[in-house]
Amino acid sequence: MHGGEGRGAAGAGATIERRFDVGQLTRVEGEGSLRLRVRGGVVVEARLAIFEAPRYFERLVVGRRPDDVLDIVARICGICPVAYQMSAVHAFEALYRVDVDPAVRTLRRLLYCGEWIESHALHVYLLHAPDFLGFESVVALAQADRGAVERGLALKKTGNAIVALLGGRPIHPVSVRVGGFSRAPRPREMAALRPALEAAVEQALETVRWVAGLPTPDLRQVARLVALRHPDDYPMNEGRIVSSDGLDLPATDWEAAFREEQVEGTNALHARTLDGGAYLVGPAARVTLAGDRLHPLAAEALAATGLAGEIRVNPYRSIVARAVELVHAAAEARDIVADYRAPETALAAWRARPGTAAWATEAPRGLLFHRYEIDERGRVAEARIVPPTSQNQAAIEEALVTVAPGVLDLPEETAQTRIEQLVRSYDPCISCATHFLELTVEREP
Amino acid sequence: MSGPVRLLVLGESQRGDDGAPAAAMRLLRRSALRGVDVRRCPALEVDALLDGGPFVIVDAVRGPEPGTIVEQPLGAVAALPADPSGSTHALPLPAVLTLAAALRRRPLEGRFVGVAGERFGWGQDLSPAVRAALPVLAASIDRALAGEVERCA
Repeated sequence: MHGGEGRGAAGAGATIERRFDVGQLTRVEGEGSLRLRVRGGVVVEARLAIFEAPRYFERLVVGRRPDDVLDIVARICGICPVAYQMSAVHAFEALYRVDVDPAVRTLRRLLYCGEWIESHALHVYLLHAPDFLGFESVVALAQADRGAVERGLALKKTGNAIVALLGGRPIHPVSVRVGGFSRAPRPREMAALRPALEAAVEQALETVRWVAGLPTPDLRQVARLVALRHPDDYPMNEGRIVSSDGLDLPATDWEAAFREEQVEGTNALHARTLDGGAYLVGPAARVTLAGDRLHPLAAEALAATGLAGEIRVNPYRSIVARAVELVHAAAEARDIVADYRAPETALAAWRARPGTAAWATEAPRGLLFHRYEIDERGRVAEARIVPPTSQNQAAIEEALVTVAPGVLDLPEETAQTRIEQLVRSYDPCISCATHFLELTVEREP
Repeated sequence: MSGPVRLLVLGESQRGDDGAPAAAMRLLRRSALRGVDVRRCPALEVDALLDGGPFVIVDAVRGPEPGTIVEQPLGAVAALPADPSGSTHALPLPAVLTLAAALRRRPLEGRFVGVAGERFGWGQDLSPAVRAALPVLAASIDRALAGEVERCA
């Protein structure tokens, strides 16, 4: 952080403006920066700026067939490619009224479990935990507590193994198709995952105990929470969009309650409620709004922490919610693998039709909404993709306004660490959020 | 020393000069790879370094004149400052090496062999300077492998 006194007018009574810049946020996915402007002890601007280049994915899919779209949107993110495939495939299948084999539905949950495990393990151990313990990075954490980092890497490896088996490779999987999968695993391939998953459940439970005991800053930041909620399952691929203030919508209808807006100085759109409010998506929202759908092992682990209420109001405690979801994903994956029967039909038949294909699923970082307009030729005419980081950006900035006055008098390095720790609590995936810039080309005659 | 030499060939062949290590592999003498554990890794994951070794790691680098061959002991690479402008979805090479050493509780043995690239955009084509350097890169890999194999013997 490069802090400094601003060039306020000299003389008695003049207001000194201080500006704090973090030129490049580290330990987040993607390239962004942070600016705080403080005048007279009051934060007048908190800006999480995303300067990673715009990526134009919504334009890249125009003119493409749905199965092409699944491979293209997987490239949006190397950490959560499954999420992009899941939102897109469910949108197309809802429009085409595809009746997928129930075993395919289960396999898709398993695929999502794999992604949640690898993404959450990465964030908890490699990106976020060092903050709580005063380490500069995971390298220092490994030197002090090798067992913890080994546990995180083992979890991540298990998540990757699930995605690789179902998706063909651990990053940017290729097997998801409209109607199912291009290939379903053989039972013996699934059985090979069982030892790692048994271990992963124990590793995830240990993770909950570990993060619940980390020294955590106090903060009370009550945000409006938004997540999917399903009558039977912890939300992943299906459910209704609900909020902590009573919203209840089909997964197709995100645009009935939310909008995106361009904000100066950032290459990502911000999402807000239609009345302009900020809101929070992600593990803390899911655990709060759908905690009664957690796997029993995860629910028990959460209860043992005694932190369910604090997860609701303290963003720093999102690391606990993420760890609880590690238990859920590992336990559900273990159960699915133990009961696995290959689908009778891995790939159901379907026929394209024009119309609007829309759906929301739960990416590791929160709600991910896709909408595609399909033309008479069965190709995409228009697309909208709203990732969780765009939805959380306004909430992050609101939390920064709350936290900043309390840390600005600390030594600069300490203040920077605390502020970055807060941003990392939201696990922003900036690379995901940069494909929304509206490109306007003005041509002079 | 705990096992056969492991050769880690990094880079993505569809990103311009990042494909140079894979291209150089095609020029290696087959005998150079005898008894060597060869692994292709688009990006280096710490898992690849947690067992075995010594290692020879081959990658494209930025900075020097395109086509320049860079050779360093792994310990020296680990001590380099991490480039914050690199990929944000993977740890930079010095951090991966340092993390692996911390988890193994001893420094990594081996050498890094790199070639300075010019462009890392879309496509499989190598820049002329990098293409011209491939025989030298292959010879450098060969030499590094021979040195590590000899130290293991």
